[in-house]
Amino acid sequence: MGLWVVVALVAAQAGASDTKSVEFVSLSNGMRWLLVPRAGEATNGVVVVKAGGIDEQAGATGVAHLLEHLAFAGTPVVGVYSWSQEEDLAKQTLALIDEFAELQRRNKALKPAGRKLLARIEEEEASWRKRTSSRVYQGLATQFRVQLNAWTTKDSTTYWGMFPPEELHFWLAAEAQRFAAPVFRDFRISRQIVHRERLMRGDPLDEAFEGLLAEAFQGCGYAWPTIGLEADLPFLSPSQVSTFYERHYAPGNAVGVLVGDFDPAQVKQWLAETFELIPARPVWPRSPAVLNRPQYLVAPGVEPWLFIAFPRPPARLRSAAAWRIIDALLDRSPSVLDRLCDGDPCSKVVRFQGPGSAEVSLSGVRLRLAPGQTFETLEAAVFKALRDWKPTEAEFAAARAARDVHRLQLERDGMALASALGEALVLQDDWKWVLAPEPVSLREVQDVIDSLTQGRAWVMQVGAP
Amino acid sequence: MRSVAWLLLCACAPMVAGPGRVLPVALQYEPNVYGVKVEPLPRREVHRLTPSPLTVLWVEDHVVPLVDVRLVAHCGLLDAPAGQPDALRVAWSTAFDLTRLQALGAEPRAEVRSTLSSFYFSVARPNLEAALALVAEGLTSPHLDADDFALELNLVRASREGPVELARRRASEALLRAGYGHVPGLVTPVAPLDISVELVRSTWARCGAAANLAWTFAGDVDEAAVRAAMRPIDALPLSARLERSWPRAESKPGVWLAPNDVDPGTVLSLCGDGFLPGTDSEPAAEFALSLVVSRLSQDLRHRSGLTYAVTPSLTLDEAGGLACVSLTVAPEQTAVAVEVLFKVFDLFWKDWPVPFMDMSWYKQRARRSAQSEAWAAGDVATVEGPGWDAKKLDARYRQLTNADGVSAFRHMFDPARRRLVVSGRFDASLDWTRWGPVTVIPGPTP
Repeated sequence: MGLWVVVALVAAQAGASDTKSVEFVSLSNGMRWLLVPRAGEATNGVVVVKAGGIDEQAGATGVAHLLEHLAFAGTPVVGVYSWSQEEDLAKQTLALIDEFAELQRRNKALKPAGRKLLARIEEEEASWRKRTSSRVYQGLATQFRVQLNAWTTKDSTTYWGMFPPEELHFWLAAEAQRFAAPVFRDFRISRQIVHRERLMRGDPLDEAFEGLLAEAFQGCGYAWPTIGLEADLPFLSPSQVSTFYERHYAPGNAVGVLVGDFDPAQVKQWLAETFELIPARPVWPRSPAVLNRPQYLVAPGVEPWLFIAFPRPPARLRSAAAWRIIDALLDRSPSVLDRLCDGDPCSKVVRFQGPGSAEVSLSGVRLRLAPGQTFETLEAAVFKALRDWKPTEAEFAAARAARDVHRLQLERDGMALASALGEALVLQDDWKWVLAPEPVSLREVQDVIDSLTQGRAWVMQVGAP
Repeated sequence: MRSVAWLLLCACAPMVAGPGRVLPVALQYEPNVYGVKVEPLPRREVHRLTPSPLTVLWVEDHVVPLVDVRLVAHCGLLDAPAGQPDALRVAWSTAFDLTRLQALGAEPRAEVRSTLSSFYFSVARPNLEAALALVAEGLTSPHLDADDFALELNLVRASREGPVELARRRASEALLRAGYGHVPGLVTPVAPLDISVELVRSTWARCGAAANLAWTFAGDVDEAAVRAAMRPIDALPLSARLERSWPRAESKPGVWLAPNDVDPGTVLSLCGDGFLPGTDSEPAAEFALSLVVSRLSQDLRHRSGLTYAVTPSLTLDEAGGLACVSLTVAPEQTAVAVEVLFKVFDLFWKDWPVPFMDMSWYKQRARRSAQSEAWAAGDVATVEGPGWDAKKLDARYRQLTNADGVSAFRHMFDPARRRLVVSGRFDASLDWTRWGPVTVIPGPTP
C-alpha cells in the first residue's frame, strides 16, 4: 500500500508543469510563436508547417518530404555567387525537368526526344552548378554552430535547429529566408536521394502495411506513406513541389517554438525583423482524413503475419488520452500481448500506430504465425485476450506514473518539447494539453478496451501459406 | 566576415514569398565555411564518485525532477554461453522484479551488444532510491520467477525464428565473419534455443558481478543523491571482474558476399581493422574516419544521389577492431557505387586530399561530436573505462595534426587488408573478383 502512496505523490508533482512560463506571440502575417525561456542551456528552435503527406494529391505522393529536403539547398542569398546570373538558369533548368517528368509519366523518356532533353538538362545543371552550391546553407549553419535537421510526417513538416544562445538571431534570419524563398538547387539529385531513402525501409512488411492504409483511408491523404509511392517518387517535378509550397508554406499555416536561453523581448523584436516580413498568404484548407468501414483483407508476403488495427482518435481528444494510458499498459512487461505467449504456440508481436496522429488514425498489432498456428486460431486468441483484459488499479496507477515520466522526459528535452508544442499548436490550435496532466480514469480506459472488438477492427492476413 | 554574413542574412526586408522568387540583396556573398574558428559548445561535466571501488558517473541537469539510470555490464554476446547468445538477454529480462520497478513509473529496458550490455530506465527523482534498492535486490539474488522465465523464453523463441530474422542475421553476421571468422562462438550459426535457469544463473554470475558494472545517473541528481542511491549497491560484494581479451580481426581480406532477398537495397560496407576505442589513438582514428565519411557523402550522396547516407560503424563496439563505412544503394547501381568507394579510399591512401583548412574544420567537428556524445550522459558509461579522462581526450583532439590523420587512416585501411562486405539484394553476376578474392557467406541455419 505504501508503494502506491509514493506513486500518487510523484504523479501529482509530475503533473505540475508550469504552462505560465510559455509565452504566446502572434505576428501580423498570421504566424504564431511559443517562447519557452530556460537559462543555461543550448537553444532549440523549430518551425512547424501544417503541410504533410495528408496534404498531397494522388500522383504527387512524397512531395511534402521532397520539399523538406530541397529546403536545405539554399535561398537566393545563401548558396549563390550572383542571383541575377543564377535566376534565369534556375527557371530554365527546372522547366526542362518539368518537361522531362511529363515524358517520364507518359513513358516516353527513353525515346530520342527524351534522351535529347535529358542531355540538355544535364548540361544546364552543370552550368547551374558552376554558379551555385546547394550545400552552402547547411555549411553556413554549421559555421555558426547551428545543428539543423528536419522531418516530415503525414500531418506536418518540422524544421529544427539547436544552437548556442548567441546564434539565435542567425537561426531566425536563416530559417525565415528559406521559409520565404527556397531555391530548388540540385533538384534531381535530391529527388534521387529521397528515392534511395525509400530503399532503407528495411521492413518487408512495409508494403503490406501500405496496402492496409490504402484500403482503410482510400480517398484521402492518409492512404499512402509519407515517403511517397514508388510509382510517383522518381517522377516528381519541380512544378509539383512548387505548387505544394505555394499552397501550404504560408505564415498563417506555420508556427515557431523556441526553448532555451534567450530574452523574450529581444526575440520578439528579431521576429519582427525576420519572420514577420514574410507577406501573409491565404492558407490552403486541409481535407480531413476519413477512415473507411472495417474490412478483412488478404495480402501477399514473405511470411505469415496477422494485422489487427482499431480506429484511434486524433491526439487532442480526451479519448486519445485513454489510448496513451493503453500504450503505457502495453509497454509494461509482461503486457497482455506478451501473455499470449504464456503457452505454445507463441507469436511474435509488433505494435504499430499510424499513419498520423492529428486525424483519426489506426493503432494495432501485427503477429507472426507460430509453427502449427492458423490465422483463425491466432485471431481468436487476440480478441479473447482483449475481451478478457481488465487492468487492475495497480496496473493503471503504474501506467499513469509511466505517463508522468514520459511528460517529464518531454519537458526536459528541448528538441522534443519544442516539436511537441509546435505540432500541437499548428495542428490543433492548442498546446496546453501537451504539458498538462491528463485526468483519465480507469473506467474511461476500460471503456476504450471494451470497444476493441472484432466488429470495429481492420484485419489483414499477410503471406497466407 | 562573420558579421558580413550576419548582416546579409538579416536583409530579408524585400522578401516575396515563393520558391526562388525572392529579390536578392544587392551584394552577392559566398560564405567561406572553412575560414572561421569555431569553438565547441560548452560541455556538461561528467562527475565521478570518489572514492569508490565502483565506476559511478553522473551528469547534472535540474530542469525537471527526473533521473535516467543506466547500469552497464562490460559483458556482451561474446561472453554469452556458446551458441546461446540469448542467455544474456534472458538474464537481463528476468533478473529484476519488473512489476515493482514499473510500479515506480519506470519502464526498464535491456540492451545487449557484442561486448557490453545494459539495463536502463528513467524515474521521477523521489523514486530513485526505491528503484536502486530493487536493482540491488536483483543483483544480489536474481528474481528469475519461474513463470516469467518460461514466458521470456517463449518470447525470445518467437522473436528469433522466421525468414526475415534469419536473413537479417545473415547480413549482420557478414560483417563479423569478414573480420572474425576465426573466433569460435562469435559467428557460428545460433543453436536451437536451449536455456535453463542454471545457465542464466551462471551467465549472470559472470556478467552481473559488481566489479564488472558501471553506473550512470543523468538528470536531477547531485553527489549526495547519487551516494544515497548507491548505498544498497555499495553493500554488495565486489567479486571478480570478468577478464578476457578481445579477439583481433584476422580473417582474410577481399570481398564477402551475403545475398538476401529481404532487404530492398544493397548494403555495401568497406572495412579496415585496427580501430581501438578508449585508447590514445581513438581521436586520430575518429578524425580520419570522419574525413573519409565526409568525402564519401560528398561523392556518393550530394554529387550523385547514389545513396541516402554514408555511416561509420564498429563491428565489436568497445572492442573496436573492424571499422567500416556503410551505405545502401539501389541494386542496379552497386557496381558504380563500389567504384566510387574504392576510388575515394585509394585517393586517401595515396594523396590524403585534406588541405590544412579542411583538416582544421573537421578536427573541430570531430571534437564537437565527441563532446556532444558526452552530453548524452546516459551513454557515458558505454564508452568509458576506469582510466577514462574526458579532459585528456579533449586535449588530444586539440593536438591532432594532419600527420595523425594520415597515420590513423593508413593503420586502419591498408589496401591489402580491406574487406568489402555486400549484403542484401544485388547483382550476383557482377565480376566481384575485380575487388579481391570472393567469399560467399552461407546463410545461418534456423
